[in-house]
Amino acid sequence: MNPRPAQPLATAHSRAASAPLATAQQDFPASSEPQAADRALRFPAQLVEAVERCWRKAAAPAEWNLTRQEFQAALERGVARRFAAAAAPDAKKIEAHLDALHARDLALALACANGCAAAWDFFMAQYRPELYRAARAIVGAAPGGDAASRELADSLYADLYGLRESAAGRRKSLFEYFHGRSKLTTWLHAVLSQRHVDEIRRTRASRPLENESGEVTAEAEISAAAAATNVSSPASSPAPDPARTGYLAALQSALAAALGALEPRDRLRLAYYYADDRTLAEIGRLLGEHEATVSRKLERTRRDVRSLVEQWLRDSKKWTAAQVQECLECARGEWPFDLTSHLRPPNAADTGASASSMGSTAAGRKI
Amino acid sequence: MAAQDPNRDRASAELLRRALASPDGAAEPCPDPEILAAYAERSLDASETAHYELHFAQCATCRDQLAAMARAAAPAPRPPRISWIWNWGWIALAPVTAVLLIAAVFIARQSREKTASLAHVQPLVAMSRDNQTATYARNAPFAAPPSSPQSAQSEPMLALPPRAAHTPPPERTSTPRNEPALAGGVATGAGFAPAPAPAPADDKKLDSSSGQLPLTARNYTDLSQPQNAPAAPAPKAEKLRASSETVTVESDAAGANTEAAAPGSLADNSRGRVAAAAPSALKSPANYSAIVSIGQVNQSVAVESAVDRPVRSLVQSPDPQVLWRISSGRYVERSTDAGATWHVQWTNATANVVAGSAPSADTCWLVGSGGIVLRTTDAMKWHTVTPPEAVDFTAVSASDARSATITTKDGRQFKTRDGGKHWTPAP
Repeated sequence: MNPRPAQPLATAHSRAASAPLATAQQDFPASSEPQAADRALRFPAQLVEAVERCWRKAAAPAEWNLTRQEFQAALERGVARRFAAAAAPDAKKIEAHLDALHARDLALALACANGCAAAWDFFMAQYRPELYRAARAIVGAAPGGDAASRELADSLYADLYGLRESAAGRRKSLFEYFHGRSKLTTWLHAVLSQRHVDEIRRTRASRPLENESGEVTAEAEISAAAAATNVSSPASSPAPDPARTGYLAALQSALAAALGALEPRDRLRLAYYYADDRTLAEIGRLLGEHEATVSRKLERTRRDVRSLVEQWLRDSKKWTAAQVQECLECARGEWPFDLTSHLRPPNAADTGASASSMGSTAAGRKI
Repeated sequence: MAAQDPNRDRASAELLRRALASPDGAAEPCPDPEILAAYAERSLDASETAHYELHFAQCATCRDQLAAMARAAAPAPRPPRISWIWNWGWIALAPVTAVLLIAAVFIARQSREKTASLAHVQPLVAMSRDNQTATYARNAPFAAPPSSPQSAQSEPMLALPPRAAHTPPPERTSTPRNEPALAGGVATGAGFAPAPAPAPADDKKLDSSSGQLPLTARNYTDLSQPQNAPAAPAPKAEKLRASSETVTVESDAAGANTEAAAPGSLADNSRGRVAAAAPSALKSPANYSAIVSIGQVNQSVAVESAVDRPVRSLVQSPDPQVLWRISSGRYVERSTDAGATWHVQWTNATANVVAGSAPSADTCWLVGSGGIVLRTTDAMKWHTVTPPEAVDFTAVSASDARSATITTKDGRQFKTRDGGKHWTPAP
């Protein structure tokens, strides 16, 4: 008999938390699972010990006025969020999850969300300098960076405190989105980063977006430049040749298939390198690998993609080796430009329509 | 079908860029900061990691966020050193590197011993075949080999690379283009300072010393020689400190030590290093044996290298940033950034300039075969100076814009005190 945690007592929203999300105040992070994550969840009896361990680890000082029940409720919310996709999360998994939580940080966040003054003093003392430092690092050394970073940090600070009113008129603190899966510091960095990136994209979005997904990417800029060049030098690209178009279209599909067959991490590495133009060192930091490893793996992934593409063309399209070769030849030289002119048109209409969007692929993202 | 072809690689790169930028999905909403934070701390489990990495691969916004977070994490999280060390690739490399290092040291020591007996050369202008590549006189290369004076001598490579086009005249005394009696070396102040000797076999080094030097002579450039650059060379002028010697390459028959007039280059005052470049261009070592000797120092350096080198000689000025370069005897270039970039100053397709001396950053004297004597006093215009005789000159040592001493191929010297209008034979 496999003990199962109690099913949610109700699917009713445990809080009005989801409402503010709908108002899309971009300052609050969008939830990836707006509704389901907030369903109420109660821990089954066998998790009592795990919860107790967690509570003790939190060691919330008395002046924070945090009750065990509140803490448990927070834990439950976190679990619901994490295991929302699973119908009935295994107790063991929940226990593992609880043990891995940063309980102390969670307690602090909770106390701050409640508005406890002592907790806020603690937070200010411990985290405020870090907040400003991180904002500075994120914004970078661009001119006006000091002011921008202060603004970034201040706006976050205000939201953490819950100075904004939610649609329901209830003060809502950003802390409510923290569930202890990471250190509070890292979470703050993430929130700052998100705001910063959104701000950047918002200010850039006034340019026409090339990308069919509506996002302004480095690639979009390249293609903008490419399109411009293409227009200005029509002589450089040969007249659209149906065979060539066919080849390029096939190549596009083959590539999509090949990328889909890659391991997510390899694909991510490729994206960092080709789509974001990051250096090997940066990629190494982002992925936790050494530069040399990054380079090596990129090379291997490129080879894999190449062979996958060729294989796909042979298998799916039933092309001969010579045709495959010719197809790849087509990709040389003017490839990006040709593709822009031959493959873009169907998408141009879409991008035109979505040009005003703020550049988020996520349905649930703010704005 | 491995992509050896760079074009293919570029095409592939473009393909990838395009494909990655137009994701077929990323339809999934972006994860919360909490997930991003947990991902950054690597506390997501394996399936979550894979799932979100797939999203990140398709979502530039998330990637930008992750990059921003990486910036925020102050001491950027680097892969722990220990894992780096344990990376198998490095483990495999370590012994190889160690072996190479040991071998290099061993070889250096060997050559050092070989040349220990040879006189020390203070060539001033290195003649090397010009090959237009900027592998020249940079700081870096020189920084590399710290060598003792001895080993410096083993840099015969520095000596001159034989000029491919030239057929080395059977006897040295004839003056084929790069015949050299000069040592060119250049000791650059800043650049060369650290490096004692232009690594002999090293391309990066002063090409000045390329050249095939006669087997028995060692031409060489020793940058490290403050101590070696013996006072001997008796710099005729303060500035000439280390480089006042000229090196004369003679046929082995002669074996005489000749003291040529001043150096083509001025060593760096602060270090007194002289880059000795061996006499240039001996086409094949077999044909020549040259003994390069320097004035009092009386050292000769055997040439060991038979590698073709670009024929160039460097002329160092007292300012470490300013260098002149004689390429192929036909044109002269100047650098004001210690060799990083060069500007052509003078060309003459039929000339054969072999040596130079720069008493200041703006003044330079050049001499060559056929009585060529040139001078500039403003680092811009070159003026021909009437030589005392229309003979081949092999070396020059100048103390300022007006005073210089030139040496002929057969060892005679002439001095001028008025910028070349009048010459007097020097005893």
